[in-house]
Parts: sequence; C-alpha cells; structure tokens
Amino acid sequence: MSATRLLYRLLLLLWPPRVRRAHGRELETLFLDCLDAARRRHGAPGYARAWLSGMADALISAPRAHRQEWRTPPAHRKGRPWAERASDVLRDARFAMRSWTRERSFTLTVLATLVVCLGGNTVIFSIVRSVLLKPLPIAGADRIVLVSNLYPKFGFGAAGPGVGAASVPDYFERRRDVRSFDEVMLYRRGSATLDAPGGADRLNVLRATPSFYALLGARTFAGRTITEQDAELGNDAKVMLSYAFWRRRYGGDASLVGRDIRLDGRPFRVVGILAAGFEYLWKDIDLWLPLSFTADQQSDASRHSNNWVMIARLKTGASVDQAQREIDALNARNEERLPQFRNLIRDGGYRTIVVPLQDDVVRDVRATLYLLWAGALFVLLIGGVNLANLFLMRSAARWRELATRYALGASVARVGRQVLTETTLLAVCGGAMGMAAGWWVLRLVAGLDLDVLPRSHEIRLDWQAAGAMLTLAAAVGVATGLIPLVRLSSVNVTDVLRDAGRSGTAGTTAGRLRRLLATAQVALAFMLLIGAALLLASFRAVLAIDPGFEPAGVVTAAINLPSSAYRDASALGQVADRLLERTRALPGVGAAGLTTTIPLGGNYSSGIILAAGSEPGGGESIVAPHLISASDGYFEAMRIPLLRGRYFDRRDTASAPPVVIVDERLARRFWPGRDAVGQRLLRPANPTGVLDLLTRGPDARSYTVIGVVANVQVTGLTPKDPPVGAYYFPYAQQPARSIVVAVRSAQDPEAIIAPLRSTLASIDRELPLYDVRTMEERLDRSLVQRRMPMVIATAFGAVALFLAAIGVYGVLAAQVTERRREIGIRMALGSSASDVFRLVMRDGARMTLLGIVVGFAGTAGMARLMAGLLYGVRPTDPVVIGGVALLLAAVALVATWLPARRAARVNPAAVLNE
Amino acid sequence: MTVSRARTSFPPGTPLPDHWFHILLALADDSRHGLGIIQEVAAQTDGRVQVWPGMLYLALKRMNEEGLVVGTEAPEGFVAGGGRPRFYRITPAGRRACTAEADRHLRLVNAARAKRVLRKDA
Repeated sequence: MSATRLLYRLLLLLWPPRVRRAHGRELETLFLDCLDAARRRHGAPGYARAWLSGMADALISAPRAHRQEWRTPPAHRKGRPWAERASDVLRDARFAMRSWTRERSFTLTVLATLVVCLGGNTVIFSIVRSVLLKPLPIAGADRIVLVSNLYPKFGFGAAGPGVGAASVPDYFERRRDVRSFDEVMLYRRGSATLDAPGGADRLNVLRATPSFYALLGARTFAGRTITEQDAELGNDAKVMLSYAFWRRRYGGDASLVGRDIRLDGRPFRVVGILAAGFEYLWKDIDLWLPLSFTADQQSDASRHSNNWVMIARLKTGASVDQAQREIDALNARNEERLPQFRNLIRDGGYRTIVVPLQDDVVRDVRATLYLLWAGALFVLLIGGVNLANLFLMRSAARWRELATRYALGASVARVGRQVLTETTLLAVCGGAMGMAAGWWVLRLVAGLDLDVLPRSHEIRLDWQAAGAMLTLAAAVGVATGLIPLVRLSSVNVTDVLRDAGRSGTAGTTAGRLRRLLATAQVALAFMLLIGAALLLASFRAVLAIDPGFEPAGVVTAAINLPSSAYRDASALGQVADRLLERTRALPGVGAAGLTTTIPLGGNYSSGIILAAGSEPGGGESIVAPHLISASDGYFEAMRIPLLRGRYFDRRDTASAPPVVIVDERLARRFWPGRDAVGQRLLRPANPTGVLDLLTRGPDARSYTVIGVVANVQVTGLTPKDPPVGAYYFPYAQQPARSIVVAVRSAQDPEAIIAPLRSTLASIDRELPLYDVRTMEERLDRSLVQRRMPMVIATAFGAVALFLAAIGVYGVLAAQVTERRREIGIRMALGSSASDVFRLVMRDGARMTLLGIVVGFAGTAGMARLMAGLLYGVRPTDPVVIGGVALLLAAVALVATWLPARRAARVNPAAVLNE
Repeated sequence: MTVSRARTSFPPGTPLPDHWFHILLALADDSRHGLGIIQEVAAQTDGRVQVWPGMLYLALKRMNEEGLVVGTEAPEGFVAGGGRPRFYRITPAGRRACTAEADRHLRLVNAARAKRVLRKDA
C-alpha cells in the first residue's frame, strides 16, 4: 500500500465508524482519482497541491461528519437498541439520584465509607505502583542488573545501588568477558564543592563511566554528553549539569557550555546541560562527571578495592542466571590465577551476585508495601461488606416497591438494572471522591521529607492508578448491588407481598446473610488490627534500643575540605583544630568534636583489621568493622560511654604513637575475657574504600588500643548486617576531607546552627556547612521505614475497627427494628426487659466471638509474611493478640449494647397498638 | 420517536451553499458518480473550483436528506476500475433549487449591470 493511501486511511479513522465502513473505500478511491487527474493536468506541482488539499479535506470533514451523524435520526442508524438502552440507563441514573436526595443519611454513609476505603486504597496503590510495579525511569530498566562483590563473613553481605561493591579491574574484565552483558558501567555517588564568587556550594555529583550516559539514554538540552574521550586520564575534567541545577544556580544561562567551573579547586569544562527528564535513581544529582582510572587502579592489585557500584545491561535474551554463571566462572578463574587473594576470598566468603536493579532498589520496602496494600484491600473489603449490608437493609425497606414492580411484570433484568445503576453510580461517585482525597493525601506525603524511601519522589497518582481505582469502585458497586438481587431472583412474589403486610420476623435469609457478613468484618478487622499492633509493638521495641549515644542536644553538620585549599594531612589537622577550638568557645556549647562517620548519617566505610599475634587467613580472624576517625571531644559530645582506658585527647597528635579506640564488640571478639587496652591492632598500610585488604603483611601498621567505648548503632537502630563493631582513629592521625562536626549544646540545639556557620565562615569563607541536622532528626529519619508503615497500618486498623463496629451495630439495629413486633409480643407474654436485652447481646457476642476466632485462624497465614518486618516481637505474641482481641471485643460490645438497650426499651403496648 | 427532519429547509429562494450549487449544476444534465461530479465541477468552472471527496460526501449526504439528489443505478455498461461506484441523480426539487439559485445569481448580475459594476456584454 502506498504511503498516501495509508495516510488517507489513517485520516479516515477520525470519521464516524459507520460512515467509514459504508463509504471509506469510495472516498479513498475518489481521492486517488483526484490525485491522478491533478497530475495529468498540472504535473508534479498540481499533484502536490491536490495531495495537501485532499488530506486537509479528509481532516476537516471528519468533525462535520460526526456532527451530521449525530443529527441523523436514530431510525437511520443501525445502533438503535443501544441508544434506547442508553436512555434507559439515563432514566435509571436520574431515578437513582432522586432517591439519593430523598435518603440523605444513607447516601452520606455510603459516600463516607467509600471515600475512606477508596482514599486509602488510592494512596497505597499509587505508592505500590510508583515504587514497585512501574519500571525504573531508566531506558531499558528491566534489563539493568546490579553486580556486587560481597564478603558476608566480613560483615559485608548486602550491597545496593548506593554502595560500592565492584572494583576497576572487575569492570574491565567483565566488560570484556561476560557475554550476557551488553554493556557494563561503574559509577559512584559523591559530593563536590563548587567554588564560585557567590560563595561555595556543596553539590551532589555522580561520577560514571561514559557507557553509563550512553546506556541510560542521556540526552542534553545544550552541548553534548560525556563520551569515551572524556574518560581519558588528564582529559577528564569535564562535567555535565543537571537541568534543574543549571536553572537554579545559573538561571538557565546557555553560554555556560564550553566554559569552566571550579570544583574542589580544580577547573572542569562544562560540556553539556542534560535534558530536563534525565535522572538516575536519585533526584538530587547536580553534576554528572566522567570516570577515569589510573593504571594502578586498573591493576590486579586493586582487584578487591570495591569502591564503585557496577551495573550492567543484559543482552536481549540473556537471563540473570546466565550472567551469574558467567561471573561465577570468571571468579573461579581469577581465584586460580591470583593466589594472593585466596585467603581473602575464603575468609570473606567472597561471592559476586547479579540481581535486577529494580529488585534491589525496592528490596527493603517490598514486603512492607505489599502488606500495606493487603491491609488497604482488607479495609475496602470491610467497607464493601458494610455497603452491601446497607443496601441489603435498604432493599428490605424497598422490598415492597421492587416486588410490586416485579409482580407488575418488570423483568428481573429491568429491576436489576435499576438497582445496579444505583449502586454502581453511587460507588463510582464515592470512588471519585475517595480518589480526590487520596490525591490530596499523596500530595501531603510528597511534602514530607521521604528521600529515605527508595523512589519516593516518583510517587504520584497517574491515570492508570486512577483507572484501577474507578474500576475497583465500580466493582464494589456491582457486587453490593448484586447481593440484594440474588435474593430477588429467587423470591416468591406473593410471599413478599403478603409478608410485607406483617412486620418481618427474625430468621430470614437476608438476616442470616447480614450476620454472616458482619462476622466476616470482625474477622478481617481482627487480622488487620493484629498486623497494626505487631508493627506498633515492633516499633516500640526498636525505640527501646540503645543507640550507644545520647541524641538529645546534639547538632551535626558536614564539611568538605577541598584538596586545593587543604593540601596535606597537617593542613587538614590544623583547620579541624581551629574549628573545634572556636566552636567550643561558643556560648552554650558543652562539647564539640568531629568524625568521618556520624551514626545514621548514611555515609559509612569499613576496613579490615586484625589483632596483632593472630595470623590472617585463620578463618574468622579477619573482620571489616566500621572504620571511623574521630577527634578529641567527639565521644564526649555524643556521650558515647567509655568502658575502659581513655578517650582521645590532645596527646594524640599526628606525630604521637599511633593509637586506636575499639568498641565493646570488637574488644570482645579479639580479646575475649582480657583487657583490650594496651593490645595492638594491625592494619594494611593503604586502606581505602569498603574492603581493601591487600594482604601485604610487611606494610601493615600497628596501633595500640587506648580505650574501649560502648557499641554504637552506626548504620541504624536495627542494622541489616550482623554487627561487626567499629574502631576509631584519632582524627589527627587519620585525617579526612569529608567530616561531620558534632556539637553538644545546653540550649536549644537549633540555636547553635547560626553561630556554627559564622564560626566556619570566620575560618574559611569558601567552606559550606551542609547536611545540618540534630542527632534526634537523624534518628527520626532512620526510623522512617518503620514508622511510616506503622502509622499507615494503625490508621487502617482504626478505620477497620470503626467500620466493623458499624457493621455489627447496623445488623443488630436493623434486626431490632424489624423485630419490634416480635419483641413487643415477647414482652407482653412475660419476657422482662433484661431478657430482651440479653437476647440481642447474645446475638452480638456470638458474631463478635466467631469473627475473632476466624480472624485468629487468619493471622496464622499472616505471621509468616510479617516475620521479616518485625523486631523484638513474634508474630504470635500472646500479649498483642490478647490485647487486640480485648479491644475488638470491647468496641463490639458498645456496638451491641446500643441496639440491645433500644430493644429493651420497646414498649409492648405501643408496638401492639401500631 | 422517529422525527424526520423537515424536507423544506431549502425552499426556492434560499441561497444554497456554493459547492451545492456547483454539484447540482454538474448533475443537471446527467447522473454522475463521485469522480464524475468532481471532474464536471472542475470543467464548468475552468478548474477554479475543486470539490474534495470529504466535502463531496458530506454535501451529497445532506442534499440527499434535503431531497435535492438521490442515489441511482450506474448506467448500463459503466465499468470503473474500483468496482461499481454510487451514482447520483438530481431530483425535481433539486432542479427547482438549482434554477432558483441560478435565478438569484442572475438577478445579482443584473443588479451589478444596472449599477454599471459590470459591462452589459460581460
């Protein structure tokens, strides 16, 4: 088919289908004939003119054809029955809306239930969709894998997209030898200081091999992307700016491309501005740099210097397993080839794992989110049951109306359509309102500082989620509408009409169905409450953990000392001394110190160390605990208790004998039952990065232990990896460029921030103070992943409890209303008010207890799912289960007591006279 | 509720859309199919007026509803490349509308001549 014909047909798709079917071929032939005629008469220019005009004609005529089609009387249209059906539905809808305004409280109850249930579901589903279900916003995300070297026995058993777990020789080798990979990339997230006339700025940077930019489909807004040439040593001072940063910092000045900016005191050539949409896993990257490697980094000696994150793209058709097998084979070959690493490999339990990047990114939150999603669906289920009950009760009230219409010849289908239209319309309205509420909540959530959660900045309500919610709402509507219908279709009309004359008695099918539903609600609510209570108990247990320091009253702030201004160790030591000296002189400051690794700061490093006297390679003898430099005053500022020996002090200068402080865990591991103070630790000479033990015995330096401090929860209150302890060097002896100042102040810690800033400025105006947070804030943030689910689950639990109570109340209240006559007769025949009261109470208690028992059985299945999320509490904790059962029973009791009291107050004389 | 539209929305004297007039004129002497109409319109206007398929379809449909044209059998022996196209014939009502329109134009021309906007012999 020619392109012209195809295009014309595409344009005809805009026409009404009926016209297209009847005349499409004719129009098309006509157009082609016109083109031929035009060519014959006017040649190529005529043809071109005719082509354009004819296409335009097809386009312009399309809406007119639709209008004409609409004006055509239905008799001329084929779809007449459809039109009639539509008008019937409209009539039903009008009828439904009239009935809503009549029964306002009923409508409001239904809408409120739907708003709460579907609002909750909108929020959770949007989060689940944005975080778990949607592919990462990266080109070819489903084929990107994370490749990590792990040393579980060293305490390094899990990496992530932000943790260095691959080395440079690995990169070159895997790029060359692993056939399943299209491309391999290394990157590292870091920070850099931008020196600019307006003051220094601390920026987030990502350094990555050029393949990274090519593969992730980086496109520039201006200039070019980083290429392989930019990764050559000596030619690598290049930088790309993120669009947001460029707008923010340079006001969108396009002339910046080709000019230099100064980072950490060195000039970098701006080669391009990235297009607005480009991002990797983090939203906050300002600068993107190339990565180049020295010959030393590329040599086998650096084989286990895992300073980089490696991701790779699988070839089309290649599987993760295939890649894993290839890497395993490669590792086995390397073990043969490089005997000097054998001990390390064996002792560390070295293994390289390949996992899909997306799986890894959401690993920590997946179970939680799915559980919350289940919770939201439970709430919806409970709410749906309430709605079904409500409609059932109302249909009981309208029973006569429906049955009369049925008796007068309306088909079940006709009556059914009316009922279904009513419930579905109401449900969809409620769903839309719930979605609006959910959208609002999501905006609140977005306003929270949630960058601790993976992909949190991607959370939004998109149209797919909205569509899913509306479908769910419609499903609820149909389901709740069907319940009364099932009853209608099996009903004997004469019975109903006769029955409607008397007041109903207990024991009808509807009554049984309603009680069953209410029991199910209690069971579901029980399970949900158990889940929430377990998370709550677990959160309390986490809060009770001793972090090893005293967070209250401490402010921390990070500083980066650029190599341009502070060339060597002595310069670093001097500026630190000056800073601490002046900080301590500030009013209200009790103690001040600095460290390279602030607990819960997100920036950790570990290094291998061993006790003097024990040989490396003796199985468990090598460990890689946290490696931390700390100045004098740091332990005092953080109030990390001293157990033995002494803290660092002014004696521990750069020229003094090398010393080290270890924590309790490490002391116990190396010198169990002995005094650690005075012992010696050995450490390889040049330890950088996560794991850089090159077993160069002769280079090892020895350090004398001068003190033992309490264990500190460095990475979080509940660390993922088995804790291996920490060791501290005096900052003067192991200075670093990235430092965090910790200041303990007697006054409000926030009040110390401004003076701290000016103190730093008085030393070096170019140094920015960043990541300023109190220790309590850091503790808080570290708990977000636990607090959020706990809060959400508790909210769901509360809603479920409330809805279940309403459910029980509603069933009993309706029963009391229906049985007023029966109750009146019973009382007239001698039943006392308390007999009647007990009768209703017993009914309610039976539903509640049965519900709790069923719910309890349900929690057994839940226990397995939840075990991984809990800390310090077992899923079958008797206190939690007992407490929840009591709470639920108490609430259900209130819900039962109200209708029971009403039943007991029935006046038999009045009822029998009605 | 089949309310058919009034067939008299174009009583004699009501101006016709231009392309309707051209189409009616093209059909005045013979029944034609789509391409025939397009070609005839082009011929009778020295190629100044071009009717395009979409526009033609809409016009014929409306004119059909107004009773100005009707579909008809293709003449004996007509063979076209793409099967048997639909032919159209002018109705008496169509002819009246066409005459009325021509008359309206004539009166306009006469008025123009009277005002010496147009020379007598033009």
